[in-house]
Amino acid sequence: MNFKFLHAADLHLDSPLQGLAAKSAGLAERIEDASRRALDQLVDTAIAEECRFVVLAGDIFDGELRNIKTGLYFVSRMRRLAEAGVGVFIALGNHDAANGFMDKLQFADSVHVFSKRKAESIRLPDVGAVIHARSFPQEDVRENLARNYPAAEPGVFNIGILHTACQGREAYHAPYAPCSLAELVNHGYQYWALGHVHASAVLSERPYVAYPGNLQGRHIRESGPKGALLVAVEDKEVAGLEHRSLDVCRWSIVDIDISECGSRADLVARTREHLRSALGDAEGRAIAVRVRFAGESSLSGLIALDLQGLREDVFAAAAAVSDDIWIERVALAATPSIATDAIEAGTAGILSQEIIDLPPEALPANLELMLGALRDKLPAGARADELLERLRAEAPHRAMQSALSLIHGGTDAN
Amino acid sequence: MRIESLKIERYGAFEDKALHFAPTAPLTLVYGPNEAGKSTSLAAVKDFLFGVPERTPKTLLYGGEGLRLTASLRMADGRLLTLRRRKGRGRTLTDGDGNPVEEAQLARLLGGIAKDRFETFFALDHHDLRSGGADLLTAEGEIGRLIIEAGGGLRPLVRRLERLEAETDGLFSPRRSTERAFYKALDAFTVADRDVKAGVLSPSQYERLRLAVETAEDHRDEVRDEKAMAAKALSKAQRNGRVATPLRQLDATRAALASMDNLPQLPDDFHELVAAAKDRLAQAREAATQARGRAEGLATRLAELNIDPAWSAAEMEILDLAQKRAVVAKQREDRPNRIKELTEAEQKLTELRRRLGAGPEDDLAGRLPPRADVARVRTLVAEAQRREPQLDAAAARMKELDTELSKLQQRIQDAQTTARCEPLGVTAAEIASLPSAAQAADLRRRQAQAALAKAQDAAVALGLGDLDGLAKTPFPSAQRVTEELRVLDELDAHLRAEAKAAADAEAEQTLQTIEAERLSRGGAPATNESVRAAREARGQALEPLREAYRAGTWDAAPDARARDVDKADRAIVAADDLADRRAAEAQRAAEHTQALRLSKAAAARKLAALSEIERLKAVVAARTEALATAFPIAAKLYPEPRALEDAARRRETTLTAADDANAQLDQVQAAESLLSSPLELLVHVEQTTGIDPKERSTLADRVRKALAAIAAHEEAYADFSRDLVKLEKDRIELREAKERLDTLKAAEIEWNSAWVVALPKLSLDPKLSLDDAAAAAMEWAAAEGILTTLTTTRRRLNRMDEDEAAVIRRADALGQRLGLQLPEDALAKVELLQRRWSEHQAKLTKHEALADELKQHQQDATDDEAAAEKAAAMFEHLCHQANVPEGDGAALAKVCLRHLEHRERRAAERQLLQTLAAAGGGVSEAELRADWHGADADALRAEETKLAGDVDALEAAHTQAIETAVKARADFEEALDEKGFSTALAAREAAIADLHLVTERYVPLALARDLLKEAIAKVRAQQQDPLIARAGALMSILTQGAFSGVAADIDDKGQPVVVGLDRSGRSVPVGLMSDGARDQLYLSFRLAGLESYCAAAEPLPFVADDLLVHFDDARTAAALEVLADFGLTTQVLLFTHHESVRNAVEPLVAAGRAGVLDLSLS
Repeated sequence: MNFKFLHAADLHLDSPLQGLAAKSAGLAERIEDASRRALDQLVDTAIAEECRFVVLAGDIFDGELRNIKTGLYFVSRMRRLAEAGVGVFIALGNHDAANGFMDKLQFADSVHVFSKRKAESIRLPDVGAVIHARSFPQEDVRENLARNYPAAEPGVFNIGILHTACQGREAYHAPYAPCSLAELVNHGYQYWALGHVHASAVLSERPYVAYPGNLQGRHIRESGPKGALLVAVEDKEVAGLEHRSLDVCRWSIVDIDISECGSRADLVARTREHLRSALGDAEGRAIAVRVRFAGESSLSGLIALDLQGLREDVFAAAAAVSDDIWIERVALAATPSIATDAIEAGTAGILSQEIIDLPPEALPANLELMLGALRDKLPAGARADELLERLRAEAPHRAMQSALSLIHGGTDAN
Repeated sequence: MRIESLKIERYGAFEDKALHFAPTAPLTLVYGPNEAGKSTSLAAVKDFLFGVPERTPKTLLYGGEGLRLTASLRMADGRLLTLRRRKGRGRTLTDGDGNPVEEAQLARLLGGIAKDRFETFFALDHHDLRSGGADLLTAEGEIGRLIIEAGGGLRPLVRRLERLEAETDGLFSPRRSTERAFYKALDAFTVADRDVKAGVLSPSQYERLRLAVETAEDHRDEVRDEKAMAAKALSKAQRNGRVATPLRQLDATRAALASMDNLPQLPDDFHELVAAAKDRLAQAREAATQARGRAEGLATRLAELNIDPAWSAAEMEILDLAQKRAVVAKQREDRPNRIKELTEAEQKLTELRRRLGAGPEDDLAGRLPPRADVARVRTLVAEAQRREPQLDAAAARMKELDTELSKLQQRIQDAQTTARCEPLGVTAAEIASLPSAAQAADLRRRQAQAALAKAQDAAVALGLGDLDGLAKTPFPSAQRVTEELRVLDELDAHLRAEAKAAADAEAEQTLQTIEAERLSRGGAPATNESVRAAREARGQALEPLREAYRAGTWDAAPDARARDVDKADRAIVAADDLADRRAAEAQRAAEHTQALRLSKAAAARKLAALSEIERLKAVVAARTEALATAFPIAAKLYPEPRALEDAARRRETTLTAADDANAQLDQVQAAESLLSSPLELLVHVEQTTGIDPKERSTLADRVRKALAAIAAHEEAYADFSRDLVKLEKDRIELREAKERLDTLKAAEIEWNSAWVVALPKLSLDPKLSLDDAAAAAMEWAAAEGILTTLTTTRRRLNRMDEDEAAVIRRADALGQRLGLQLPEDALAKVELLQRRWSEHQAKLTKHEALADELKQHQQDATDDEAAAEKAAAMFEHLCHQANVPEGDGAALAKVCLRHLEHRERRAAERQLLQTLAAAGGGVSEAELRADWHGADADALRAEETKLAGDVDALEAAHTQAIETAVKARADFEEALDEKGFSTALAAREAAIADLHLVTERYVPLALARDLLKEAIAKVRAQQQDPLIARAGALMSILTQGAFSGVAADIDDKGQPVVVGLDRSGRSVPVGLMSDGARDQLYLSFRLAGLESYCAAAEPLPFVADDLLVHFDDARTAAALEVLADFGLTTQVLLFTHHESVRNAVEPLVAAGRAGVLDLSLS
């Protein structure tokens, strides 16, 4: 029999969007519960598309937040699916296993949470399908779970749900429940519904092995459309697979080459254009944007001197385009057009040369003192290590460029 | 680089202005009263050097199109460069011949200095000078700042650094302050984190709250049920109270009704029916009588009207004629327009008829040509009109080219007779540096030779003969001698130390010996050993006595025994004395022993020291001997080690100087050999360009002439090359022009044959002129439409005449049928007919109305009579119902009265039943009677009171249970409330983002700040001394000796600062200087900084704009003196509009040290 199902994973409910400084209350309100609203859209889509069931391949919760309200919200949405006659099949992931309340949640009969002890198979005779899966028993699962999944059943459509860091896709993700693509392809199932990796990817089409990616991007590294895979099955074969964007707020990186900008006004106009285009790409969603300026230009000196001014320009450009744009960060990778062979003979030249010739070990010593002072003050939970590590790598170069810009930055307005 | 002249075209208010900046004088004063163009000239200098900005007020008058700035620049090496600048977006620079010059070429000459740097370093005005001086005061003369800001012209950097400090301080510091961005974000984080934690609901909390709600709601429901049962009982008791009275009244009413059972069954409204029947009977009889009378009156009036049927039959005919009349009237109005249309159309055809020779009656429609033929003629006309000017232009261009070609060929031929048709093969750059290189090589050779002679003298002075002898004589190195001296010094120090040790030991020994003697005076002190010896002696003395006593052998002689006893007693006494003394003299004994021990140790040390002295002396002698053996001559000449060391050092210095001088000579030789090739090139140029060898003078003169010759040759050769290219280009163009002309002519022939065919098709003569033919074709094109209009209009006029005749015919026929006499005019005929017909219509309408009214009155009379009969029948029927004889009205009235009473009683019964139903809450009467069971009122009230108390108590309990349940539910709901939780999470993330943002901004900025400060400190260390020395000298001149110089000092905060030195050399802090002195100090540092720059790179002009505004006459003279001197280093352009400055510069002009460019004259 022909049917459709929705494959989603990595909902990370109530995990906040990272890196967004405060903005207007209106926009904040629209996206502060983005992960929940993305779940709402998932439920709406499943009902509207008349899906037979929804497959959730782990990490429904974020693990770090032990708030039962999150669980109750999830239960309420599962109830909506149950009322609409849509089944739900859940395999728990590492974050769910770390969660304190998962076991206490009461679901409707049409919601099935797979066993943590061993892989089990649920048969759906009405559509001729069988779903095999196993939940993570604890957070740190290092064994290959796929290896002990039941053999494919003949004459039906076999679906395997697996939360895994499949070989070759581990970047940024803990190497839990590792397995190889070849192993999955050869297992005999018609569809492997994977979870854990946050980027959407179809690893194989014969049979289908796919990650839907997470439902809602949470930071700039999770940019681009996010959502679930809508799978159509006809005659026990996948007849169509379509990625449906269900995110509420979209992360986007906008790169602007300033070498093509003759003036500050040009630069602002170009920024506006890029932001408009990014907003257009987001199909009516709010966007959180990192604006990166790169390229060599005579403007870069002035910009480096007045980064705050540049930020304000970018914010104004965003406001002019729409209220739906949130600027996550304005990053400057532009370099001033000072060639060392063109350094002037005067004091400015000597100063520049001193800075260029500075021994490479001199800065880190200063830097470590500053980072130490900052580390003492930064609160736990503020992702200080990640920040300070990045600064350790980037700050010396940026400082040197800033110092050169201060010398050669042209005449100030005042 | 010196700007010798600047030509300004269409810039600012200048249309064409040439400025010549006194090329030979070091200082140029550019003088111009207000509006003479001083600011424009100053701006032109900068715009020439760095480009004309895209938006500039200088184009307001003439626009940017014709703007040109042309300058002649003299480089430090003597080269002259002419460049021209226009306004535009790219490639705005050309050379004197208009060839494009890369911007980078000028940028190289400017040493990478951009416009803004030029303005802060090479340009200075009185405002900058004054604020620079003021800043010095603020910074209390801090040296680093002076070097950077005044000496380096880096004022913006200092400002930026201050801003940077402020910004980093505002971002973060380990010291907490709520003003700092970091701590603001941190506080926001703390608040949001607290909110997040408050919003989290754990599973156990959730379960506890849920259970509380469940329990409270169960209890609430139980109490509610109990209360409901009590309320039900109370309600029943209250109902009994309410229904007792109505039940009793109901019983009484029912008894009264039972007594009226013999009354006939009549409807409730019987008496109203009787009254109504009587009224209706009387009214119907009266109405019938009146209707009959009205009908008779109307029949009489109808008979008086007389109607003619012939008019009614003619209705359709008259209406149709009326319509036709309207048409004819409209046509009559339209007729003049149509006639005018005919006339106009005919007029339009007049010209065409004339051209075709046709009369006014001739039918043009028959001669109308096809549209394609007309169009063909018009196309041919257009072609001919386009071709004619092209033919003329092509012929003219050919003629022009012929002339140009013959001129070019002549010029080329002329050039080929001279050598200038070939490139020279030598560029100016290859020989330009020859004089300076030759001069430099010569100078270096002389310096090297002088150094060598000096070294020779030094060798002789050392007593080792010449340099060769100096090099060959074995001589210890200075380092070796120094090392030897160091070892000998060390040995000497050891020797002296050992001698001192020996003397000290000897003194110690003497001292301790005396001390031991002093302590042993009065007998040797009792020592432990002597006490032990005395005790042994006592033992020995007592032992024989003890033995004899034990053995009982007292056989010895009495005196022998007495002796033994005495001996024993003495021994006992001696030992005891000694022990006593030992106790008493323990300190003295110890000191004595110590003195002896120290004396012995000192003797040993003395011996050891003496032995070491001997050893060291031997070592010294051996080393001196070894050196003398190794370098006998040196040791002989310089026996003293110190003298030897000095000689060795001088020898090495001399040898190094000699080596350096020789190396220098080698280098000079190499440099001179490199000059041979440019020299050959120079000779080649001279020979090729015909410079007379007899005129040869200095190399510099030769090179200058050769450079001029190269430039002239290159120019001529460039002209020749351009001519060759032009010749080829013109030839090609000539060929193309001829081809174009041929094509045009061929087209003309083809056109002629088409023309003679096309014109007759329009009935035109082929010889007709182009313009006439064009006009005729146009008229034919218009004629088709005009002819169609003519035909249509004539047809319409005919139809008008026909319509009017038909109307007259039909009206006359109708008039005859109706017997009516009609007038002549068609329209009047119809109007009369219409009028008569209207009168007939009015009469007819009135007749119809009267007939309808008569019919209605007759019907009314019949209806009223029938109603009277029906009313009489009804009255009879009612008497029958009441069981009284027919027509007995009195009996019927009596029955009516009794019937009314019965009806009221029944109504009372119904009312009581309603009351009972209301009081009984809808319960049946039977049930109410059963519940009441006839109880009396007091018993009923007592029961009600008791039950009401029960209900009140349960009500209170229920309220309490509801409140408890509501609170439990509210607590649960509140805990579940999501409001604010997501907001708190988002706020916490926002605070983290802010913390990251601040940190990421702070760290690179703070590092950049530290970097700059470090670099500034280094630059200060490097530049401080030379810059202060030079600035001091300038300050002395500028202040005419009021300050003898400047110096570095440390202020009371430990900061390195600059101070002035007054005439007597006392230091004057910046804070104590006058404003003028501080300005002069700032100027001194700026000039010193510029001198340092000009020594290292191509000097750029120093542009001073009204610099001396705040200077009095004496200071102005001193400043001009300094600027004129500075003009030897680089060009100085001093702009002013002050006449006093112009006057002050006169002495310098007279001395040839300054020139004046008066803008009001040039």
